[in-house]
Amino acid sequence: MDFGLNETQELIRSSAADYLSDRSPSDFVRAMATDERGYTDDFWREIGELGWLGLIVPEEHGGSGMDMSDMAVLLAEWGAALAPGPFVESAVVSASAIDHFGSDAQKQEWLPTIAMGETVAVPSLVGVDGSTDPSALGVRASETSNGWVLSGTSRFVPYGNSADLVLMPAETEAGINVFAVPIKSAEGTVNINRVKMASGAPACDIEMNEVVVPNAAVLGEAGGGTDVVDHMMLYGAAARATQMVGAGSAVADRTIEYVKDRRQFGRPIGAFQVIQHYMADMATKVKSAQHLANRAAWALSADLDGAMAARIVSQAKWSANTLMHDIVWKAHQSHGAIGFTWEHDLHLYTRRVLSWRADFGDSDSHIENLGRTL
Amino acid sequence: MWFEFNEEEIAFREELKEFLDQELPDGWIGPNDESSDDGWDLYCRMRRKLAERGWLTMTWPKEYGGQEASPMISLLFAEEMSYRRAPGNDRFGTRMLGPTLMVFGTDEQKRKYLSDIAQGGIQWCQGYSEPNTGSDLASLQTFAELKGDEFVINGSKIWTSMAHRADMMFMLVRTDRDAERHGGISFLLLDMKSPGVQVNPIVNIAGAHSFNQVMFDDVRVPLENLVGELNDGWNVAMNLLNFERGNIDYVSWAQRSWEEIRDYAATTRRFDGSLMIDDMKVRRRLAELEAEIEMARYITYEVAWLQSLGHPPSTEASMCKIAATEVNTAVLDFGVELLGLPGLIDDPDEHEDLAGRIFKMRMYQTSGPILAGTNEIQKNIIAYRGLELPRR
Repeated sequence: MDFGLNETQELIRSSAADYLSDRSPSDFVRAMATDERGYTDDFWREIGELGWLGLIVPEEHGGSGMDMSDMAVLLAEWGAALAPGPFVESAVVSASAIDHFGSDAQKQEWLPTIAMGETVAVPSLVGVDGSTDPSALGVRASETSNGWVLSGTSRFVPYGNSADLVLMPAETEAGINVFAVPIKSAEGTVNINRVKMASGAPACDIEMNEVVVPNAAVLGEAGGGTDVVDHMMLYGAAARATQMVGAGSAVADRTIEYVKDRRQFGRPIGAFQVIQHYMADMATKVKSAQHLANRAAWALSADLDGAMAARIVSQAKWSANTLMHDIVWKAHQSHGAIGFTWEHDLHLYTRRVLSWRADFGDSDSHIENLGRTL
Repeated sequence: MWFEFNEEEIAFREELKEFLDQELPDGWIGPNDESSDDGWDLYCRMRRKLAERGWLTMTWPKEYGGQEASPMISLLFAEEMSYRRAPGNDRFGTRMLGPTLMVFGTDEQKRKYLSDIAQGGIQWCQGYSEPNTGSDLASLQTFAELKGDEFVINGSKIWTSMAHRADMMFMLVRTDRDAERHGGISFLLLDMKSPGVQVNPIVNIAGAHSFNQVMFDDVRVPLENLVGELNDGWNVAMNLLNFERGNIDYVSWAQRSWEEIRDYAATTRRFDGSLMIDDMKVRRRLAELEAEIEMARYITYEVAWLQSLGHPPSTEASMCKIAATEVNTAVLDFGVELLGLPGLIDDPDEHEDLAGRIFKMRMYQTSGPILAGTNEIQKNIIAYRGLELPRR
């Protein structure tokens, strides 16, 4: 057992904390929350130069070849800073899916540019019913003599209005395929409609009519798309769990500072035992969810049995969902009226935590995964 | 970050499992009832056998006959023992008093007591709480007057586990009524056979005699039984608390009960023929409890990891005490309700079935969130020491 960070991870942690506090302060987070695209090219280029977008991309494809435990350290800081942009979507979920399932040609085509920040890749994992059930697919694909034709609507695609590449599951006659669709340059009709979301991160409904992609766009085995989707859900859930714990930890820290400063009845409200116990609960919940989230990231790096790793990830995501949700609302209660204002930053966290709770499997779906494998 | 045991740790656990397979009675379900004579005999037999392997004192320094085992190995020992509900893991002597004597004891005290403790031949009990002294330990009133070369003790201790089985008691007494409340306390060792000691049984809500009130009427204790300096007992006792901060027992008990309830749900059919576990609500609640057990487990592992680095845990120990005792009662609460009326059978003859003992287990485990510093006191500790919130 080792609950500590190694030297590399400590370096990742401190440089991420420094960079993000400087580059992604609250006015930037706020500006990006109302921005059409939700992040800037400059910011994206910089984190590419820092090596973050290629952190888990193998060195032979232009990345740093680190593992998910290392990534978890960065994601906790990313979550604490509420940094904007499709970082988990591109640098974790898409990069690992292409690395895991891609042909040599696909890896060479996409991984180096994802690592550099030149390609923004995002997965489409939301069903037509708006749930996180990825089997409720809204896109159908039919095979032609020179590739595939895709039609239908993919809903709530994160950052779909700026993405270069969408990893798009579609129903075919022989099962599900995941297609790597270069959405900006695709041949056919593509309509991208941005939906304003609670988190501030844009999500887009992508309507496709007779979009043509080559055979080489199929990621993994033809008909084997479910494995690719499961992989993306798994990596996404582990990443979101660590990010949520980072955000929850920041909320707990800020709330603890607030109750030390805020005075009523001639004393800091943090001197009242009810408030003290709220704060002790928050600190315990952060610690509880943090260990399970780090363990989930570790499970994806270590050589664990796949079913075991999936259970560990579901435990982590369910715990982060449940406990970080508790933390943000208790933080609002402890802040009183000031935390109810638009001006105060607390709601920025609340919006992210509630949004991330729905991403890559909601609480019910993860607890059901666990309940079915008791 | 690494979330697995190493080879040495896994090998130790295997050795312990084999030992328990051999030494526990056939078909052992537990928990042991030490208020019965058979239960007490089994406890003493197991304690001696564990001592023969050196496991009771595995964390002791080599100079006192220990193995200097890592905190993680020690945790694994407690985890497996509690999972099996195996008796004999004495902590009053080996985990609490022993390490205290190593720091504060005289050479004579070390010589006299440490080897007895290590050999599993002596039972200690802890005399801290009093009728008017619970969470506020420093308010204790039992008075020991120093007369010549002996103390004369009057007063009483309460909730004293094992007092009716113990050979000796380590206790806190007030030795200076005028001093500031932490300043007038001393730490004494008392022979339970001393004249004037009376042990009155208290039956707990599970119907078992597990603790006692101990009365002291002019009980004489020689001055040589003072541990540490006179009036410095608070310091001695607080140091002792640092030795016993893991709460893996509760995690293991929760895990074991959870497995029993899961197995029950997986094999029991409702009147309509469906298995309980196929009820979505049942399987999801089981999965939630399992995740909560894992949360408590990893905070507990972190405490051992911190200790292995030489960092004394403080708030982490309080966090795991809360998490572990709460999930332990939550698991049993779920089980009692799931089982329905059979879950409310309270009959020792039905002990082999989960239905016949789950209610008693639930009643027993009510003590977890209360003892060794209530969970509310633990939250105060987290708030003051960890989060540095103001006291006023």
